[in-house]
Amino acid sequence: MTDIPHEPSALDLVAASAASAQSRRRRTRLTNAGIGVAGFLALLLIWKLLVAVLQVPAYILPAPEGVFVALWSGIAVSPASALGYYLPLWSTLSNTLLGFLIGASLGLVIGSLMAEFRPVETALMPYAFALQSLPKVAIAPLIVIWCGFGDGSKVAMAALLAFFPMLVNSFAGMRSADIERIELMKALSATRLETYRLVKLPSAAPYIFAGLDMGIVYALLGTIVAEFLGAQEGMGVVITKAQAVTDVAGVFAVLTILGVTGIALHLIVRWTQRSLIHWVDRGQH
Amino acid sequence: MNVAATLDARGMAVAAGSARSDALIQAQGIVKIYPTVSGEPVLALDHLDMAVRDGEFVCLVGPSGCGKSTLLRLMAGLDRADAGTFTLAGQRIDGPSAEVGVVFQQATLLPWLTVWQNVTVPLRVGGHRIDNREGAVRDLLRIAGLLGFENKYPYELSGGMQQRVAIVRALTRDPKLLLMDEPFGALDALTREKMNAELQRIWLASRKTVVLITHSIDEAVFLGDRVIVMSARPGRIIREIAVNLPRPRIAAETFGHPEHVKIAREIRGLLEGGDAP
Repeated sequence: MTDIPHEPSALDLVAASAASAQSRRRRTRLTNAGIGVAGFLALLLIWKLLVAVLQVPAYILPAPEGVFVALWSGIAVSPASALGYYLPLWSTLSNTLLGFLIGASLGLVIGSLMAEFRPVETALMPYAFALQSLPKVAIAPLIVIWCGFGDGSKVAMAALLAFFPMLVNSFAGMRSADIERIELMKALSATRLETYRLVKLPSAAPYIFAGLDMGIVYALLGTIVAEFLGAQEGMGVVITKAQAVTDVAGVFAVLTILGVTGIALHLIVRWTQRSLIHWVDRGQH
Repeated sequence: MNVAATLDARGMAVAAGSARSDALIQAQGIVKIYPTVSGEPVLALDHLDMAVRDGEFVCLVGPSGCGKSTLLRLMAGLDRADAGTFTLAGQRIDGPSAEVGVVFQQATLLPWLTVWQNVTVPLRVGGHRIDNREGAVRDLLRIAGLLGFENKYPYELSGGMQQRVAIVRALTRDPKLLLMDEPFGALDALTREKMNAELQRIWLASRKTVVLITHSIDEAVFLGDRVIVMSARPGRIIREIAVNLPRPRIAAETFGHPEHVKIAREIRGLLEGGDAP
């Protein structure tokens, strides 16, 4: 068979257009990644220049390479070493996750009950509002008194902070369920639990994931705050120790680790959401 | 107080007057009043009587807000009448029942479930079991032209297909009565015409009793054995017209048919407020 030049058919055009759209998307993604890296390098450069030109002492703001050295000294050690980040990070992470699990589950259960039963809503809503507007971090000293300096107060603090976004979001999500779908379940004489499982919970799923997303980051925040108030281990303790000897580079290094951890937790939630909520809900239809 | 008393008296008088026993559905002296947030309560249905025979296809037409949907909600057991009774096969309707299938204006599918999971929802809730109806549901899917789409999700289907899934779901429990509330109102005109033919085909194959609400006069005459015309609020039946067109009806032939034209003109005259010829 020889290649005879011919007019492109419609099918060829469609294939070509799909291919070009794909390569365009890939190029956009590459460009965005490039902008990200360039921005980060520029930030480091400005930081370095500021420190050098203004001669900022290292105990106020260390140069970027100082932070890198501190970071490396915490990473490039045996995971079992007391000097590395691994043990305190594990302590912080495990308490964060346990607290998140408890707080988010309670938030989902109580939010669901409030959405489902009017009397529960009437009874609990004022407290939810009051506690929601209270800066919850201010409760931390009280929690330390109640739960002590161990893991208990960290878990409690993480749970407290993860609880509210879950409560509010699951409540709003359940209430947003399409009236016609609920009517349909009524026409099928479905029980309350069946309607909850088949209609309300899936309807609320996008809201619930938004709550989880907020909740996991808040749980990390709660754990760190509890660690500040006097704990034996955890990333918060590493920060206060570094602060005590004005090792500002060390503080920056821990902040970097915590930032990366927060982003990683957020991405895990987002990824779970994307693989779980596959449907497109256009409300009606 | 006074109003309620007169309503009751009139309702009972009507109920005693027009008892027919050969009907699958019998409505007698139905009154429905809606409370409004501001001011007077609204009288949606005013002593309405109607009967639907077993296997009959009845279309309800009327101006918007004439209480057609209210009537359908009462028949579906989703709402209660303030006076009068509805009976289905001699049994008083006082709540949702497995003998009634409902199709709403929107397909109202659950987007997180596949087509198969959607059509079998009625077999999994309200104390029903799936095992003995699986074959029948598959037959319904075949009749509706949905075989091969069982594992698709609703968002992968066109609007017309979604509404067909909703119709199959309404028939899943093998109800005696199929209620449809402007089922094709959200579809474009061409799809709608196709769906009318589809519905007629499904109906001819299943021979359910159907009550369909529509605001399309052509649709009502094309589908119905009988068209019930309702007045503006408060809703009353102003005329019942039998449609004696042969079945299966085909759009291209039926729409130009003198009988179709005559009935459509009569209904239009009634709805525009003037007297029909």
